[in-house]
Amino acid sequence: MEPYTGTINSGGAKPEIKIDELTSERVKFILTNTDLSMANALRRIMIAEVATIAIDMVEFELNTSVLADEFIAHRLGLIPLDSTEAEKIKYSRECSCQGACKECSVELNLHVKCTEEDTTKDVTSRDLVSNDPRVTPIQDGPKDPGILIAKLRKGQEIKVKCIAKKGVAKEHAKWSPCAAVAFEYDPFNKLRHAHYWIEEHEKKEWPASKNAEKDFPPGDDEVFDFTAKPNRFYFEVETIGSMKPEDIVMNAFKKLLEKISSVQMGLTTNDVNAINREPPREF
Amino acid sequence: MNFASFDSDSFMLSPENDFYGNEYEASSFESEILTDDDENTDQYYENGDEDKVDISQDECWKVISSFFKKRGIVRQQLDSYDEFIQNGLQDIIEQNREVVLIHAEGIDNKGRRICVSTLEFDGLLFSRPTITESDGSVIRLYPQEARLRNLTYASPLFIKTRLGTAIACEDNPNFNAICDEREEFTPWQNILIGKGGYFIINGSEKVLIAQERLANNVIFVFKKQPPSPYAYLAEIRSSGEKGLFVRTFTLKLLSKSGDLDDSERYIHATIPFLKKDIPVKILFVALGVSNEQDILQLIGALSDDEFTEVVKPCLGEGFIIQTKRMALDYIGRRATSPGIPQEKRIALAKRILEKEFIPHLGETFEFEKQKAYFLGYMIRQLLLCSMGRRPLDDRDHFGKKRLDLAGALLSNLFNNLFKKMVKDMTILMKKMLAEKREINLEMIIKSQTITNGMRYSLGTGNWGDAKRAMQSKSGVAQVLNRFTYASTLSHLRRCNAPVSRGGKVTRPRYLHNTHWGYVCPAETPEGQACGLMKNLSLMAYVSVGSSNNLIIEHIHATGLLDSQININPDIHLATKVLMNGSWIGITHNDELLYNTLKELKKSGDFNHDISIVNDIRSKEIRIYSDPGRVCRPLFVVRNSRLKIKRSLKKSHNKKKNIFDWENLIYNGFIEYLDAEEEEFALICMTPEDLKDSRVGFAYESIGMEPPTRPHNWIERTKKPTAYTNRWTHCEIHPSMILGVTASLIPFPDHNQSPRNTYQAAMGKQAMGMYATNFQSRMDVVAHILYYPQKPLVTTKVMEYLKFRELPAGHNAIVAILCYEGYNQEDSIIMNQDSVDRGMFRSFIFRNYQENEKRKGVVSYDEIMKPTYSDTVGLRYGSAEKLDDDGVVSPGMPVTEGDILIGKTTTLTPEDAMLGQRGICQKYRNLSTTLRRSEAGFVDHVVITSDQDALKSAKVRVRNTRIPEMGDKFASRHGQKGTIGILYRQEDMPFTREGIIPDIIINPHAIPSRMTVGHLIECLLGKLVVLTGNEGDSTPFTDVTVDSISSKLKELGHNPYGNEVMYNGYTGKKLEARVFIGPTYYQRLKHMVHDKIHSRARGPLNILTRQPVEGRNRDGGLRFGEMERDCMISHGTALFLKERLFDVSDPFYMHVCDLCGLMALANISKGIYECRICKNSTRVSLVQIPYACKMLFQELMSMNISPRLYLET
Repeated sequence: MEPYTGTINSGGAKPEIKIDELTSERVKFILTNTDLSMANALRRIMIAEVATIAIDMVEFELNTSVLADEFIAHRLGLIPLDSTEAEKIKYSRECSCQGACKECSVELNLHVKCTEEDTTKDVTSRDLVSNDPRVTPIQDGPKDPGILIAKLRKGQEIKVKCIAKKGVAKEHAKWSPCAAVAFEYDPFNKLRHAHYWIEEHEKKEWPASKNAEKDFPPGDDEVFDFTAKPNRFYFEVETIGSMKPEDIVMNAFKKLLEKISSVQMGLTTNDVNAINREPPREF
Repeated sequence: MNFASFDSDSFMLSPENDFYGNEYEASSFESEILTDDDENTDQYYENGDEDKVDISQDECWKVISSFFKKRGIVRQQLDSYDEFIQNGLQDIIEQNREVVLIHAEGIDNKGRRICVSTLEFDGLLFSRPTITESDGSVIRLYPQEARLRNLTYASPLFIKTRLGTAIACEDNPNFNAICDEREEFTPWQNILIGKGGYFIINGSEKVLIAQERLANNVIFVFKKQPPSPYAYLAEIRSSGEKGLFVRTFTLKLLSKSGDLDDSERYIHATIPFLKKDIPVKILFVALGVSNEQDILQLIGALSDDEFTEVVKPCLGEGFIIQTKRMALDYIGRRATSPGIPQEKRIALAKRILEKEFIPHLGETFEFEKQKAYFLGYMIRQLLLCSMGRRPLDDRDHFGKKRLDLAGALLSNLFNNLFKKMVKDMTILMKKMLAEKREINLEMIIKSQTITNGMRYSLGTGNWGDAKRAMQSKSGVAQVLNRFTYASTLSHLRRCNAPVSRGGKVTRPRYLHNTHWGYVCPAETPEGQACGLMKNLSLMAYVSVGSSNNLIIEHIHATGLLDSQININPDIHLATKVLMNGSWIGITHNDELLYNTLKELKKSGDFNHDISIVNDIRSKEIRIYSDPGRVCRPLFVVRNSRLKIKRSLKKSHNKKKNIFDWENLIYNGFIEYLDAEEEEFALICMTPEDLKDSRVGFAYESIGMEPPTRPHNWIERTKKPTAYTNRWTHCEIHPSMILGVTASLIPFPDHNQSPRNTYQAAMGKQAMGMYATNFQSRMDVVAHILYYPQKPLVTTKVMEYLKFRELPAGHNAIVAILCYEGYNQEDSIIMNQDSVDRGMFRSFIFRNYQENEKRKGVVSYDEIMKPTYSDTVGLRYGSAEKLDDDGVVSPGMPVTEGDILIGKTTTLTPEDAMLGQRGICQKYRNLSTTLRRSEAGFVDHVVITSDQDALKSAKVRVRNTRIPEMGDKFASRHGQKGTIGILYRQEDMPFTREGIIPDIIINPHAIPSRMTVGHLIECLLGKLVVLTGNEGDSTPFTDVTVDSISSKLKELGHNPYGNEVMYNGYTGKKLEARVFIGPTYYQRLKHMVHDKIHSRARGPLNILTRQPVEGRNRDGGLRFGEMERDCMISHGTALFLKERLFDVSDPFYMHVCDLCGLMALANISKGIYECRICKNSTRVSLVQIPYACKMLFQELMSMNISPRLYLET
């Protein structure tokens, strides 16, 4: 039995990334020369383990709107805050303070009152005042109306203090930096991982995705290679705005590396025999 | 009135118009638009639009919209109630108009001679709904105030009363406990889309459920099965004037078996108040027809030999009785106990024949002749059936059913109560006269009888006298369901058939052919009430009834009716005209009379809900105008063309809205038909079918093969089997057969039928937004979804049911997939991150209420903040959240055991409270605490006073319910399931676009249930979400899977909604393709939070010392008989002993070894003795269940001594 070599790439060549498109909202890239497990790990980390900052505690001083406190609190939690500097903020569980301090949290205040007759006043994320200029509700230019929190009629007022904390989406979806992560491999289904069910015609009923343009179509008389493994992965990461898309990917890599090195550390220091065990089978 | 003659000659024979010939046209009755329309042929048909559809689908929906705009969803309730208020009440008063007292003249206390003999009731007067406060002030009452203050939304009713000879008018306040909530403006918030149709009794909203019954004054002929001595039965439930009482009359044809000769088949009649059945011959004689020839003629058997043979034997029976007097005596003898003089007997017989024998024909002796004729007619029906010449009647035919709505129910109730009041009043008057006191109107008229009676019946639902609650119908008034808006609407359109639930009769439960369009085929409960509890279809209309006189006048005016019928051979050869079951005459030109009447109805001379039936087969024209018939609107078809078509063309230059409902009705474009009339109509399913039939018939009539139907809409519906030009009506839209909740199902026409029934029941449990003013309502429990979404896939009807405005569900992305196994057996996998983002979150509002009470002079229940020092039974710390006024303040977080409303009752000095009472404690705690295992925030507090100025407090507690494992969800196709697990989104499967499902259901839920609609909804949802439209899933329209698929294909998707998905854990493609798309899901009210329960130790029942029962008391879970059986068969005796004894009610008891009875024991002193046996040495300790010990003591209390003889 061959011992597991411990490399994270399949062909021996180093993993590569080719960026196809990069805007403020999304990044499209192709990851090559690595295992499916690595690619998927990257995807999972981007969704669930890239730390961001989100409102976690809301203290209501006054709420005379028609919406209930917990309803507004829930809405506040989902507002994306600028988390580019999230790394500089501590997890509050790792902070030495009791509760919340400057090191591990950001305070945002909201105080809106509707004074005008016969109009509805919108309370938006623009009304949130942060005490830390690094962490503010995201805003797409000065014309962006902001994210609606509540609507007020005359005499109604909301006054709340929000504590934003650093966290990961494993705990609550509000800490997720991405909207959706598109992930695809083998658009021509050469590996036959999926079995197409067809009514009449496979090509007509199973249109290939755009990624197929960047992949290598099967030759007319190509023989099915049952040893082939996926090694070309098409990603598209869309941010919710709290982070630049490239940062999400970079942070995810960092996190991934951390995880791998901790495994590696564990293997080398504690259990030498472990590496001689059976290599993990593919799922 | 003139009628145009048949104008068939004016047509030329051509494929286009030959089938328009042979058609009668009553042009003088043509309405406004039609008269100026040139009906005349050539010009009309040169347009050559015969091969075009008369009215498009869109226009059909415009017609439907105008119906709902005009009539709304709960119109039947309001119509019925209005009729009662406007006419019904006055009729009842008029029936009991006078109270006449025969009395001796007397002298009153002032020495004057008085001659009081009559009390007369006259006109009625209503005021607006008011309330008299405790300080005497009268305030206008609005529904919302009534709801919040637990008042009755009612208005006073005044009857002008005239007393005695002095005719002094005195207005006497009477009372009426009813009013509907309509066009009322409330000072708080009105339910914005509420339309009323219910009552408010003591603050709770009550609906009157329509009660189904068999029609009165209709002859039913049934066949009886052998054990019965009768072969056939003819029955009529004849109602007296205004339908306030019913008398059943039955004719019975003896069966051939028995000791009688085969040819001798007698007919017996059952008349109310007669103890025995009598031969019909005698009845005829008593009615003044003694000649046998005449009787045969009345039956119509004279000219028919076979018939004569059948009738003969029964004329022979009772041969001895020849004179009317003898016959009456014969009848009288059977009505009374023996020993009454003959004269009285005859008088009684006469009265019975007048009042109790088919009273709907008339209640005086002048109607004797009519009754004899009717009897003949009835015998004829019976015999025709027995000879097989007439089909038997179908008891379940919906045309022979009537619905008693709010108006009819209230009128019955009011009638009884008013009579009772008059009776009580008469007794009082008599008493006063006897005592020679002056009669005081205020004193004798007990208006409270009516007020309280009405309030009782509406409050409890027991229809009738409170004293006879057991006999009266229960469940007539119900608390209006406010779970979802659709459930409210559905509740207001419910009807119930009071058939015993237990019996095994299944026929009344079946869906009958005649239910089409009147009763929803899907919406009925499962189980006991299945098929008995019905819901009206959307366009069903319930007739309110109108006066016969006008119609009869009109019939007479036609000159076609021969009402002076005499005994001649003619009567059964001509066509009989029956008006509400009474035979008013015969006609020789039935078609003309029928068409005339139809025209009169269409032109609005009669009420449009009158039904006119021309039963050619049995030679009858039946006209019904009674209330409670269920009708539905249909397009009128003439000459194979929709009547509306003709004016459609003209209306282009007219500004008038042709689709206005009134306009449609009064122009005769649309007609209401009831099930009885529908029986004789030929109804086309769609205007398209009508067109096809028109074209096809035209071709066939010139001997050509009709063109094959082009590939057009509704291929699913059947092609007409034959082309015809005889259509009389056309459906407006077939989807109108459905009721409220069934109309919310997308593609119900693709589902297996019971699935629609399941969804119809579940739709009522879905949470959403039940009213726009939910924040100012104080319902006992209410659920509000955080973010209700209108469905992507809608039906047209949702517009009328306001489902888009008040939705109940979410458009979840649903994948049908086996993934990791946590969605087996109808469980579902849900996306935790979607839940985090607010999917299916809901509020639960629970209302707690407490009133102050005065009990006697000293004792008083008061709302206050109880303190420990002066209150018994108060748990420490529980009253801390109360304000000084004894009620919690809004915004306060509360948990179980917290007191929400503090209430105490004063203790009398005698109350020792089992020794708990301290010296200075003067109150006992009666506070309302938050329910066990619940927590939340105080959302709203209302403190008011009721009519008697007693304080009442209502507290609404709010809490958020986040979906968790075990909560129940359902699609709109009867596919329900509970959450099996919540996966985070990275663990969920995903598509190449990164789409992650919100819900994963198991594929095994589909094949055996055949909810194809579920799949089509998903497919259409996917298309619609890609194109940004709203999908239309109205049943019986032209949406097909192919059309959706081809569009999906165009958009670069798999045409059948399948997609390649990746495993969330490994990133590898799943081998199977996954069907995924948006599907509307509902959150149902069943949540684990309300059901989860466990107990280790807890409260015990005081009497038995066994654990108490029920979750809300923290009770134990019963280890029942069947569980016990299991343990016995397992042989685990010790475990069984533990369950039934150690863990339940173990008890130690000392028993005397000598007598086996309980012994005294003082354990601390070590003294054990049995005083009876004088035994203090041989005492044993036994363990027995406490319940067993108690049984022994109970036995001992009745002189049975159970003894325990112990073996050592």
